[in-house]
Amino acid sequence: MAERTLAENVAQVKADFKSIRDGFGEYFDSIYDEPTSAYGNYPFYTYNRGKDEGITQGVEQGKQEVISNSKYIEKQASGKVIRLDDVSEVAHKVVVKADTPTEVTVCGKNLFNNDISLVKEVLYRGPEGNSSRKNGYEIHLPAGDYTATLISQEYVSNVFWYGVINDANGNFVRNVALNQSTANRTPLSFSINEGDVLYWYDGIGDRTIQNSWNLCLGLCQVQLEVGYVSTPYEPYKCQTITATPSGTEVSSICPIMTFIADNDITVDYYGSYGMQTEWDRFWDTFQYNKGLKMSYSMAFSLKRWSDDNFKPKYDIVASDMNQCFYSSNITDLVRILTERGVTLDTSQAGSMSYAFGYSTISRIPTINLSKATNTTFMCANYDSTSASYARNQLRSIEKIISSETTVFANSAFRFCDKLEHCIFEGTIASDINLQWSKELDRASILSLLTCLNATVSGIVITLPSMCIDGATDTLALIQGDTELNTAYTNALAKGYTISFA
Amino acid sequence: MEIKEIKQTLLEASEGKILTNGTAYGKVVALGAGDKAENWYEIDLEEYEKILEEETPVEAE
Repeated sequence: MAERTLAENVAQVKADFKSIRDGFGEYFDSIYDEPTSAYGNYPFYTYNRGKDEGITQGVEQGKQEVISNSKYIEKQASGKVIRLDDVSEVAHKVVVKADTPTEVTVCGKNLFNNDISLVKEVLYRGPEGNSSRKNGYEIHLPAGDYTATLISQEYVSNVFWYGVINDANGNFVRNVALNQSTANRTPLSFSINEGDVLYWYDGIGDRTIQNSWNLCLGLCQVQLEVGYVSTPYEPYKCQTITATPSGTEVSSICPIMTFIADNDITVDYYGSYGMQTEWDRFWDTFQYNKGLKMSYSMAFSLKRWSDDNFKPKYDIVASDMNQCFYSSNITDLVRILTERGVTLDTSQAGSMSYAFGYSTISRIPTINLSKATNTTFMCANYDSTSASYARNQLRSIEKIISSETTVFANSAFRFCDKLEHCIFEGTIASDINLQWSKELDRASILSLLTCLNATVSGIVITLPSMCIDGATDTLALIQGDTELNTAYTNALAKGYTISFA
Repeated sequence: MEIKEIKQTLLEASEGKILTNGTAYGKVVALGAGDKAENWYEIDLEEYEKILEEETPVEAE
């Protein structure tokens, strides 16, 4: 055994932890492995392919890069013996800390150093209670559970290792002989208590340890690992570091890392480090124009997208918003974008068709419709008789900026019956229908009336007959409110017909 | 001071009916300057609901 793994007088503290499989892989599974699309039994790629090749290719590349490289662990463990399973090969960071500078042995999973030079004369007590003196390995392990495996490369009779555990007082505890009598792989699990000493020794006659163990080592590999499970053999690897209060970064040396120290240490595995890398990798590919204008047609559509995985890296500057968030499971778009410091710029988008339609979005940030000429079902959702009515959650749109060329489709706000707040800015010179929004507040109505500032002909603005609380007569409210009435009469004078439905 | 009187024409649909100009609908319609009452006519609410239904896209799940 390596010097440090033989450390004596270590307390029984063990904190194994295992990796979370493909952290970002799961993330992407949620996006990609939707079995069917909204339009039948077509996977997302099939449905989207041809509609926006850039997005499709970006998604594919992003996925491939991440899936082929991703694995992360996000965990912290403290103790004197810590085993980190399934350390991935992707970028990650492991930091070992200790209250005072502490020497830490960092091994792979195999704790047994079979260096023949470590063989010495050992004095142990056997099962009969007699003390014996043989040549072998004297192994001091931290208290815990271990599994030893003798792996022979071919069957040879009488290839085995005698072994016993003695307690701190030198009394016999149990046999830990490894043998290869009938199989080529014989794992043995056992517990080590504080102060126990493990002896592996040559018990075959009086032959010298050198001769017999050379033979044995030539035929066998021995693995001693933390835990109850025998895993595939890995050669012994070891490095020594000094853990400090501020932390010492360690690069992974094996698929499994074991940290052993005399004092308590803390091991931080920075899953977020790997996650960050993978998040960057994906979004750099997905948002290939990195905050510059690109098509977001179908980009975040369907139920695969949720608050958990919608984490854009760059501003969303859309040349096309067609079905961008259509039927997605995202909820509070304002909160997510604010938290990420990302903006939604639709000022150059001609199509807003189904952009937010039939999604679970409750809050929409400012949307600039200055160039929008197709807003069919832009915010539409299910009516109250639909089984999917629970998805209809839109309550506010921060602001809608429109121009004289903006075309509001009759269906743009279809069944938006929970919409309470929607501030309009600019000019509305097209029909607009808000008849379903019977909870619209006064500010929203005033802002809309104020935008009726072009000189028009044949344009009809449809307001809900009731507003605010669903029980306030909209026309009466307007006529009884000087500010609202002024905007209203000005609009009529400009040629707008105002309908209350 | 110049005082402008703006004439407001309000159309109100009969019971069970709704007003339409062929594209927009309403129970009460305030005509804008240039719009005429002749541009509007009544349809049955049932007919209106049918029109709404026809305009509804296939539900996406």
